[in-house]
Amino acid sequence: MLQVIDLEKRFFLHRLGREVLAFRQVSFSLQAGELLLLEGPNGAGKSSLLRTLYRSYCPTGGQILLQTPRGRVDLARLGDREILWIRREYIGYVSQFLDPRPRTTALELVAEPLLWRGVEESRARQRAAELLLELGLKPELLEAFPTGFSGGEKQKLNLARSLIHPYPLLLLDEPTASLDAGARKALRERLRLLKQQGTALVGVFHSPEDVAGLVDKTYHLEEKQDVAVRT
Amino acid sequence: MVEERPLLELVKVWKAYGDRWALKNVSLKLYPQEVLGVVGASGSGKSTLLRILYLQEPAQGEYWLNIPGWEGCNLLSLSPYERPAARRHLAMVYQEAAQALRMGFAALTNVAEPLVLKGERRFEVLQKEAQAALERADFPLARAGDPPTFLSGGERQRVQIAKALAQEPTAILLDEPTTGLDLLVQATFLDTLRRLKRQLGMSLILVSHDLSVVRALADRIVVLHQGEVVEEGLADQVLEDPRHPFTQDLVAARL
Repeated sequence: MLQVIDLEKRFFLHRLGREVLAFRQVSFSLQAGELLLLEGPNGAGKSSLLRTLYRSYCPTGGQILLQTPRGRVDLARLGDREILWIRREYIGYVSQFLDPRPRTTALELVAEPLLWRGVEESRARQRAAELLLELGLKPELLEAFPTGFSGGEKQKLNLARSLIHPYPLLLLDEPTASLDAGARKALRERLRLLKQQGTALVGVFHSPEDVAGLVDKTYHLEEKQDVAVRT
Repeated sequence: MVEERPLLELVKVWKAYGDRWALKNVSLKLYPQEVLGVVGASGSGKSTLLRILYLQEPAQGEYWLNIPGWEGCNLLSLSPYERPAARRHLAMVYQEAAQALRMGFAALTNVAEPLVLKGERRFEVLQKEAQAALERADFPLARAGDPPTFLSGGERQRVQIAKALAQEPTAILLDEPTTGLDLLVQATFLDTLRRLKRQLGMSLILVSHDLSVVRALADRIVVLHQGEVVEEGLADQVLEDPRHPFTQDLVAARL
């Protein structure tokens, strides 16, 4: 399903005239229905690795081989248009924080990925509402603008936006950090269901209980050894 | 994988004013149902690029529109007399509505103009189609009889969008369309553009100095600096993992 080989990301900061290493020599493989837990201290590159898998960061070395119904592709080398298409069909990504869009209601934000797929609007909104309520969002907030939501409420939207379509690969960056116990439990159940449906998951989790009984593999990112200086 | 042809393509375009290069070797592609953001500082060549895209200025290089009737025709080699026919496939939305609209004529009349240019003469059809375009641009129909002079900044931009839609263009070019609008009007206007892309499959080239506006709408971004494309990529990638020194400075300066 997913095979990562010798993946590396370095940033070159022109202002400082030097290179910063995010991570290097990362290799792992993942089957459909498996959950890989990323571990490591702060700054070890966990979030950077997830962003690189989603191609928000462009890797500086290695391969990200993803099995799709149209054959195996290397995300590290695909063009931008192809990445956009792969993201829409195959990869969900839950960031640490929601980037709320002005004047867009909670329901609209969550229903959007379905609308992009051509799901009829009323049906998309209905499914968005069901999912948000399942994650414990108050019903009166469905039609509200999320800019004023609490951290936990925003995070529920963020999650729902990526859970509403069953992506074959789901990347999770501390999705539970600001959630209450009820929402954590609901998420755990969702992830269990997704695994059964064959979704492969790569995630960083705040506490191990959030994914208790769901982890198939663990990958430990070391603290960085080399911060190369290049002039 | 997915084999795609761009709708619109610039290949190695050069443009000089006197002995100063305004654009140097600029290439870009716009794909169907895509928003391409063009960002850059003042003087980076953004406006020149738009004028060339809208066929208002000659330049060296290639410009292709991959639509029936225009395949294999380099638009930059068209004579001034041939350009208007090609320009009909493009629509431009300006920061200043007065550049596109007749400020003293009713909004509805403005929107009907491209229909008349296409040869439509029946009053009922003109009225109906112009109204439909205004509605798609989320313009309040009750004000369709008012001239733009009487309309607010946000409403004027919607009239411009409606006029562009009435033309049924291949692509809409937007030059700083939200600059000068208040935040609330800007947000609802961006919502309209997003919906047009999704529901009508519109392709847009959005030129703006405001990275937040571009981030909110663009799929891909091209960064212009001193007349050159110094970086291009997925919108989130250019803003989160900028590689060129200029882009790194630009992103660091974002509020």
